[in-house]
Amino acid sequence: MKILVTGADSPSGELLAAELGKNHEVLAVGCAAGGTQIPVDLGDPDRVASHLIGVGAVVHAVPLAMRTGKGDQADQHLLDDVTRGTYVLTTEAAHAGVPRLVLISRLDLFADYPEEFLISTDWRPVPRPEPESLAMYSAELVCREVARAGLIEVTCLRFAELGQKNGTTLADAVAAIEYALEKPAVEHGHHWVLRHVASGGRFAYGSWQPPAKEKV
Amino acid sequence: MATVQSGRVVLFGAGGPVGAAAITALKDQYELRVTDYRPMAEIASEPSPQGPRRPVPELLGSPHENRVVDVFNWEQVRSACEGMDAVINLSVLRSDLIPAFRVSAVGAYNIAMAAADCGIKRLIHTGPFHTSLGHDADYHNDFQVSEDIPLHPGDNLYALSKYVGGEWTKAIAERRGLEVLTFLYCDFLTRTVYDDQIGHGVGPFSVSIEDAGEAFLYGLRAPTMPSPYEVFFINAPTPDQKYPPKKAKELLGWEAKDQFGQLYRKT
Repeated sequence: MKILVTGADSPSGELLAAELGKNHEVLAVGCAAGGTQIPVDLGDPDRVASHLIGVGAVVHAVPLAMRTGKGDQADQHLLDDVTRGTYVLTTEAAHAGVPRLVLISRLDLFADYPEEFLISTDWRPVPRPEPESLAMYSAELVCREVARAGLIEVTCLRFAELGQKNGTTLADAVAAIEYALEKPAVEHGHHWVLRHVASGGRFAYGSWQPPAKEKV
Repeated sequence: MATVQSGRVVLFGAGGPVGAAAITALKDQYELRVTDYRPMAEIASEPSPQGPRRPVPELLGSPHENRVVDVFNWEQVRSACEGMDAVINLSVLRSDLIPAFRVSAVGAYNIAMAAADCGIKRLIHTGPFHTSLGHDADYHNDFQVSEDIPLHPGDNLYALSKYVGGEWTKAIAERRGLEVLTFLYCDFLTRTVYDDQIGHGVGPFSVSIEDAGEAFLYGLRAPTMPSPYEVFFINAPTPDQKYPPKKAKELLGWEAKDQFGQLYRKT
């Protein structure tokens, strides 16, 4: 399958793209040029559409990769870039007939609940009033609402710290993405599916595990 | 105490018809800082782009103030909030991709963050309630819909960008000691009923522009809210029972004066 992976200009996104590239044809895109990724402004519908031709699924890893820039209006541009970019990517993928999008989000959205709570996907995210947290939250909101309208299937995978045993190991992250790509997202009639993927640490309770017989 | 009985109020995006009605309702009670992306003098000198039945804002003189503010610009928003007792966010851009997110979403973030930074306690945020969005998760086929239901904007640019702005505002309100009243609207009519409207029915989520303006007075003066983010339907209580505006009466003491009986009764 040909997969478009966003956020590939970050260390985490580049790692994910490389791992997925072992089983798929990966089109890695990022905001900046460099490495093997193609620079694409996700807020530009025509440019995004041109890269979706022949794509079978999208892995949207921008929320994992985002970071606040420097200078005036850095916070505002981060919020705008992530939110508008996610909207354009999701709606253009739907228009292009791409059936499935995997959104990579973060369990940081639950960091301010007391540590003794057993957090699951049934819990309401509590974003901090900070640009990174709100941008990540809005990426989820945009994908969820477009999915709710039945236009595309979205699986949202919330990771803890990537590459950490007490977070989400790279192996578990890739397994969860592969499973989401392989299995239809629509569960119980819903086009939006949420999974928490934590290999250890405070969010490990109730974390998604690949079914033993179907382990990829 | 978030109640603002008197003092200084800044309005963002005040150049539209709702801004015009808000200015009329508030100008004798508060000192207003009226802002829009375009100069208010320019806006006030032109007919409303939304048609001849829509009001144009009155250009206020001293002690009020008019100011050009791009709500995407943090410094301009922060500066406009300084010295204010309350904030009203009327800003919106509906159909163009880039401004929709920069104004309706990031603008809302800037306004809520600036209000919190300035120690302002009450913010009235505004947005649309789309009664039909063309997908099965909207509320088009429901009755007795209440104000606290989560919005389902689908992929509609206007609805979704305002929705994100509202959710960010809510997150800021819950964590920064701000009290936000969100007013939702759908169809606007006028207090004057025109002959061509009589007997043609009325939409289930309608309000006169004059009533919409007066609701801000009630919003500023309402007592402390039960939670940091409260949503209100700002519409007339029409007898269809689709979107009854209960909370506005209960928590703000506001009820639409114009209830459009001439429109929904047979002539």
